[in-house]
Amino acid sequence: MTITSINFFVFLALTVLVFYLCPKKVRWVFLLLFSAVFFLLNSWRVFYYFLFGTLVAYVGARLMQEKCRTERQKRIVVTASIGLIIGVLFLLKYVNVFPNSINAFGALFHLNLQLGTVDLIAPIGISYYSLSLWGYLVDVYRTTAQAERNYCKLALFACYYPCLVSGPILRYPELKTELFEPRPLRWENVFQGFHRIVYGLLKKMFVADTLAAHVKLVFSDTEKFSGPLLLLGVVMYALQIYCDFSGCMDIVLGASRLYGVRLPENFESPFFSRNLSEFWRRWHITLGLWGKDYILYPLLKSTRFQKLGSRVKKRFGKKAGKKLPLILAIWILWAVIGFWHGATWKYFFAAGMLPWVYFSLSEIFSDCLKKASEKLHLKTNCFSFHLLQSARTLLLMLIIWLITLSPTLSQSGKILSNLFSFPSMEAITKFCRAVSFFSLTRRHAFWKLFALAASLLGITLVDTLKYKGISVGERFDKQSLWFRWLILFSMIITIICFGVYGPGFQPEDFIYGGF
Amino acid sequence: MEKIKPILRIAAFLVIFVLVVHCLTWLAKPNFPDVKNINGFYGEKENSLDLVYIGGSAAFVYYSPLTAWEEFGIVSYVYGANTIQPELYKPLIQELLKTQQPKLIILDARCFQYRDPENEDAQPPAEVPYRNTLNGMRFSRNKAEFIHDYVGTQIEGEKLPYYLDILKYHQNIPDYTEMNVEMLLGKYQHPYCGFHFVQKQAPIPQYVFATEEKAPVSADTEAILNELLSYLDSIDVPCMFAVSPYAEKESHKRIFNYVSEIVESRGYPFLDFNEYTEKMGLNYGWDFYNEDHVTIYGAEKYTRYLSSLLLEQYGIPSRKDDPDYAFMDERMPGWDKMKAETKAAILKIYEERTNNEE
Repeated sequence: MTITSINFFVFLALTVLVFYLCPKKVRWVFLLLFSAVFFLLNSWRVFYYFLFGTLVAYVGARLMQEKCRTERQKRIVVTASIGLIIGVLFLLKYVNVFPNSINAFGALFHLNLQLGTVDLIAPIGISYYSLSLWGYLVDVYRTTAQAERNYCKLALFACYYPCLVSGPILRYPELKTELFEPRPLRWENVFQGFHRIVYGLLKKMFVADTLAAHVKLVFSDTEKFSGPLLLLGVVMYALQIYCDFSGCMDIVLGASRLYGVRLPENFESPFFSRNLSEFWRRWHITLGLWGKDYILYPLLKSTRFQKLGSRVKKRFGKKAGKKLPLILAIWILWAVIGFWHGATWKYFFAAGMLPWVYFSLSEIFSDCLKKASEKLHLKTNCFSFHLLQSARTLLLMLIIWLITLSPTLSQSGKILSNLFSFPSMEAITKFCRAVSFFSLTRRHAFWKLFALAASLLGITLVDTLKYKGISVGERFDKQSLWFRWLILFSMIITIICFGVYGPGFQPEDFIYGGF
Repeated sequence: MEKIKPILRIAAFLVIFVLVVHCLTWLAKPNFPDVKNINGFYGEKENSLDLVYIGGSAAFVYYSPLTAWEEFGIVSYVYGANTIQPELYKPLIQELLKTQQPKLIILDARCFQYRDPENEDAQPPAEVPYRNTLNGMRFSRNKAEFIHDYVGTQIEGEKLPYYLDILKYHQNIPDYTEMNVEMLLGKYQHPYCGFHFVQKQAPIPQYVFATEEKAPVSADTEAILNELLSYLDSIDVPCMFAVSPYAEKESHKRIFNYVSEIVESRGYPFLDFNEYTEKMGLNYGWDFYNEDHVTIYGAEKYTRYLSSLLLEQYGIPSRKDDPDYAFMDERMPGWDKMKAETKAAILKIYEERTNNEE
């Protein structure tokens, strides 16, 4: 059951109705029931992995809080529990990385190693709930959260169904109140939730999936669609992945809001970011925050890193003592994030190592660049400079996305080099025909392009308002009913007319659903 | 009031949403002759038709209601869609009986052999034949029941895109035509009472044989036929089964012999018009455009023969002098124009071919 299917919306509508019809105090029980049904409908064959993960987290947290007397004991329990949870994730998603890599390595030397691989089915949302449970265990270890005594409540935290498809990654202390406090019916939740779902559907079903066809065309033959066409293809992919993932988040957050449960935001106008660290603070926010809180800071605070810092400081100076442990910790963080994105070296490099190189370089050269701009008397606090910085950030991200779009890491170099060649007239003509949607009539192509342009303009407007700190949902709610319905029905009609759905159309899977 | 205001707002939103989906559904309908034929039936004046001829192309390129009107005063409609399957007859009859009480329903019997898997020319049930008929139908219980019973069993696929065909055709919306708007407003009327013009011509062989042998249809087809006959027993309208003339093969004839035995044993007439082609004056070198279909010339001959039979033997009245049926004349200028164009085109094709042959 995908979250853009009619089945999902029927399920959502029925469960929201039942949710508000039952007594306030037990509404969370129904949320658990709905989540269990959703989980079982999608992954009933591998239900036991989920059961195992939550039981480990439950027992581990309670042991830490109630039985462990020393810090060492607590550390052993937290490490073992996280190890077990991540072990299952690793087993299900990454077990084939090594045999595949060794086979590929052997092939370079004409060795037919043929190490066997195994096909294991991972339950829905395992990447997301495993990280959420990891965070929960660390929070209990740090005593920033109390161990949950009710297993069912912990299970609901882990399998809250709107988050199973593509996150966001949840934190127990934040979500506890949202999930388990009695949720009265507030109409603004229902309306704002619904508006958000429609907005998310527009982004996903129309914008992202329409752009996906063009991206596919360009990346089907990057030698043919080279140079500016390839660049345009990557830019389209940037828009596609943003509308796909943020659209999915809008649907998830909107669906959750219908139950009165507010989930953390995962996107805050990332394309307006001036640098990469800002970009990662605005793109997949919950993963970034999770990485910082549960990997980066613990590493930096660990004795080993502290010792390393002081050693480097003594030998190379204060700045190096500060920056080297940070660069090393960031390497570990990005290695984890890279692997989390996909069980291939391509993802490890593109989504892990390349951002790490960007960060490290920016850490190393940040002071020099600052001094240079001061000496050159550059006006940095103006729109044009902001635009330049945003363009630079986007360009760096485009390289990452271009590599993730390559079939393999080894082929990405070739594809990158294709950026600097010129396409044939035949390729340009085919691309232009694709942009005008191939065989459609002129009228159809005009309206579709118009709708696409209007939607992209609308998304930019919403993101601009968000960037300025304006709550778009609340601002929208304050408009007159006619205006709201005009916008809503415009979006609905656009989705119905041009959305990629139904027999004969191939809607794209959520890109982040695969991570 | 404050408490129920949000509920009213939701209700109003849902009503508008349903209306929007309804409108867009009709704007998305493909501009196919089948859709025009099926939907055009709703545009016929209530209780005006004396005869409804149901079938696939074996009906709507054969029987021309406006020829029957012009020359015999018969008020009729040829109702059907390409590659129709016999299981679709019941919902079509149910649909027609909502607005019409005809004196006779003719059911094309060719589809009983077309859908048989044993047949070399089989056209088994598939999405296209179902959609050809269902696309033009208004949403009704009949349509819903048919989808429920047959989609997923007779043909593969999900039921939902049949109930909500906008799921399949939504990308057509920007290309809507005047016809779509008329269908949406319930005002669409077929200009030729369901007849379909084809501007083609080709000589075809005539297979000569005489056989009394019977070849059974598949159990599936027989079950559908028996169910249809039981349904016909329950309605108060006379029905007749007919096979329009074509390049009939002996294997087909054996199947028709089998079907006719069942049909006649239940008290319904079964006429294979292949036996009357000489009386009709059908010319296999001129009146057809392929082995299965006649041109407008062949259609006129078939219609004339059938109409005189209906007037003489089946009690179908002539309404030519009845002022209540003057509305039928309104379509004649359009019909004449299209007929002349088609005949001219056929003549040109014929001449070009004979010139090439020479």
